Amino acid sequence: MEGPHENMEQEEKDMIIGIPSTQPGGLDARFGAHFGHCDLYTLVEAENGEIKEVRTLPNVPHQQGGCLAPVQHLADNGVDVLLAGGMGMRPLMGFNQKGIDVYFAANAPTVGVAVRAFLAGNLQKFTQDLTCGGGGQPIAG
Amino acid sequence: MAGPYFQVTAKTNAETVWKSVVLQAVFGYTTSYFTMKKNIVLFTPSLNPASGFITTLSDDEDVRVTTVATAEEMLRLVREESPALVVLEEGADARKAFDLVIDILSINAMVNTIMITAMDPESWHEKSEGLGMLEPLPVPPSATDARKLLATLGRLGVFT
Repeated sequence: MEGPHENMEQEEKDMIIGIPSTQPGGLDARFGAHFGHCDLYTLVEAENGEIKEVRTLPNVPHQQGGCLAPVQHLADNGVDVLLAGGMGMRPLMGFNQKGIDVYFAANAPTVGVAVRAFLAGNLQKFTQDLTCGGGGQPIAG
Repeated sequence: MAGPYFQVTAKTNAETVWKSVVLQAVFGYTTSYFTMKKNIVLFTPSLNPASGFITTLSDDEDVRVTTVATAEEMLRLVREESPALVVLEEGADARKAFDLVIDILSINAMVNTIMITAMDPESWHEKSEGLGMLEPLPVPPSATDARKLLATLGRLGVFT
């Protein structure tokens, strides 16, 4: 597993961070544990490690086998980084193939806490051993 | 070495060619009507090409069915053609079917997968967890299963 400060380099440039959220979204909203089934996404634009803009993005309908729809949706909306609590191997591979880095933020109570933890370099990169059915500790997703 | 395969192409008739010509003439489309079809790759050695399942899929005007005989050929098509769906028969290859699914996803996670299996639902759920597969098909799958599969692909937006 990659270290918690692996993302420090990314802080030096503009980026859009996607966070699965509960209604109504925003930094004070509760973190959505299931990235594909969340109410909506909060998109945080950050520059040099600071939050510049916060907006929301509706989720897309999700059904079994359709877990790549949110991947394409977030890629189409310019997301560079996703903070997630649970995820299967297929969407993780999909995000990585789309050039979106995924970080593990399962214990964050709110979107804001997750974002600040990421910007501080305190989140670990989401790897296959963390995925549902990935052979490591199972995580809901 | 690539294994033998054949294509079952539905609607390769005058109507299809005519539509292609009209699209090009009226709208200036440069792609042919054929390329708009979504490719479904079958790695199902025990299925008869004349079975209701395969003919129902290949009769759909939005679908091009490609049948492969080896896992290597299947993976080559995933790499080169990015099919909409791979139908994989459990036991079709010496490798475990779920390992082949992971191989597919490692190449292109956008490719949908479905397995023909007699596995009980609990075991299937446990082994397929996280792989984002469609609900499995029974052994052998029927024409009705093919129609349900096409409807599912439609709901997933594969044909849009």
